[in-house]
Amino acid sequence: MVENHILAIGGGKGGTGKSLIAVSIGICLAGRGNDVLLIDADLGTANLHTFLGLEPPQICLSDFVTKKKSAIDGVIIKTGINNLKLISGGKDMIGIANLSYGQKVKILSSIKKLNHKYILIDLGPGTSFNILDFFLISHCGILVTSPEPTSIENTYRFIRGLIFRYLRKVISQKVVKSLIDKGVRQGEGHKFHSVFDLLEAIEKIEPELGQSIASYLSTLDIKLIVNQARTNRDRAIGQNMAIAARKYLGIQIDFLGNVSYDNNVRKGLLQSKPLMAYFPHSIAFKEITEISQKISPRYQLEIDFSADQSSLKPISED
Amino acid sequence: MKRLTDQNYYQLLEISPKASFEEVRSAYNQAVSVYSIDSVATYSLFTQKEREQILSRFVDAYKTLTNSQLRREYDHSLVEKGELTAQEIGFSSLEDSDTTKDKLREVSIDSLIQKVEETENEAQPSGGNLDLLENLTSISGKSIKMIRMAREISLEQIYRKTNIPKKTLEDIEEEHFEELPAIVYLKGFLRTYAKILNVNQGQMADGYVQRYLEWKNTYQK
Repeated sequence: MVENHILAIGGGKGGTGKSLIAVSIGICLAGRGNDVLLIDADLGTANLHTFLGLEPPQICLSDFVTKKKSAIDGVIIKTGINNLKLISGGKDMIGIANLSYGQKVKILSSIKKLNHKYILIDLGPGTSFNILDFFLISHCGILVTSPEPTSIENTYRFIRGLIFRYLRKVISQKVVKSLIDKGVRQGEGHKFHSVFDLLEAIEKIEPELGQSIASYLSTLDIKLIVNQARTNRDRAIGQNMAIAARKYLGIQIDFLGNVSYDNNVRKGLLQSKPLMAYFPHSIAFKEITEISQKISPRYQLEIDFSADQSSLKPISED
Repeated sequence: MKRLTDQNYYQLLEISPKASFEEVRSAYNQAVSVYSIDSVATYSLFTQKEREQILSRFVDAYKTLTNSQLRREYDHSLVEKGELTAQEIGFSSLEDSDTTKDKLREVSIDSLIQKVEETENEAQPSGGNLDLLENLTSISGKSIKMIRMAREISLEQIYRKTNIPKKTLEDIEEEHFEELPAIVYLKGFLRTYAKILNVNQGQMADGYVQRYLEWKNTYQK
């Protein structure tokens, strides 16, 4: 039995600093003596290596996907930082959203078997099923948003998508599954704006199910970081989002903290150095260190991605 | 799990049925900052209509729970519905004075529903603290401003309610002592202002005048 703790870092929108946060949290955890593996799952536009100050690696996750390497261990590389290893995303253009079902299952089940204390998966932007599934195999999903309205909007979209995807996987009743599918097809889940709407509809068909759905949802561990915060107003957003998600959507979100907008990030990138190597005293790094201290091992959701293929048939995403 | 619209006022504001007026107020202020129209955190979450429904529910909760009479009736209705037991209800009767009631109601709706105009760099004032003025002999214009901001009341609103010229209100907060009217008028203004802010009138008036006199003694000898 492998004892690993998988953290996925995602969020609907690109450019919110997911990769920087993933690398920085990884460095913090490794710095405390934990064995950490970073996985760049932003296939196609992978650049975690840049944040680590590395040249584009010769081996990467795509080599495993395309069977050039038979075991996922074969694509793990060193980062030059103690306790921190990396699986780079890929030099070619397979987007994670375009992975086939088989490829996805192969990656997910291999990741679950990896023996590292912390596995941090940096997901690309977007809310496609593949991305949501990577998020769902994690013990804990961390959403990164910037204070921009568009980024916040996409964060809610991600959360909604995630909940529908999750419930569809854990609920076995066919009628309920198809109810959820219908809700998703309405686009944006507008038919079921919140969890309450969905619950109400499900309870009409299966009155017993309401309670178990509530308990399923309570096992989801979703955390939130607001990155690139500049003003006090920005700093209030995370807490307010958590409140609104809890009160209105019916979803518990744990707000981990703010990371300030920091010019050092850009400077560091221009020098191809991780933030903390050259600017250990920057505010952003201090904040990320504090956030990383709030991360602790947790149990894993029980979703079997390899079984029940029929129910996993892709439903139209339009 | 209960839908926001199905929650009773205490659940809605996430406060105890024994919460003081001050706790109600600060929970309400928090809610306004989450759900108001210019809250970036939620603007994409609701339609305009939903937002109005949610806000009006919070306003109802606020109006009811900060009015002794209405709150008592509401509590009884909750007990009748079985949502609360008789032991759970009841808030401090200390606050149950006419003046407090009036002030709290005055402050509500028109002012509080509007978004806090939080200056970007200014520290966010705490949810408003009635004890803010206690243990202070000298009270600065800045303290008064902080209390006002915690109450989320604009100078314009103070002016409309009290007819104290806006210029004077600003001079009080900014401590433009040389511009302030004679002490006897100033004291009257401060008492009226204190009433709106729901702080001890004598304390605020005397404390600020004390500060004024300190300045006078230093610079105008």
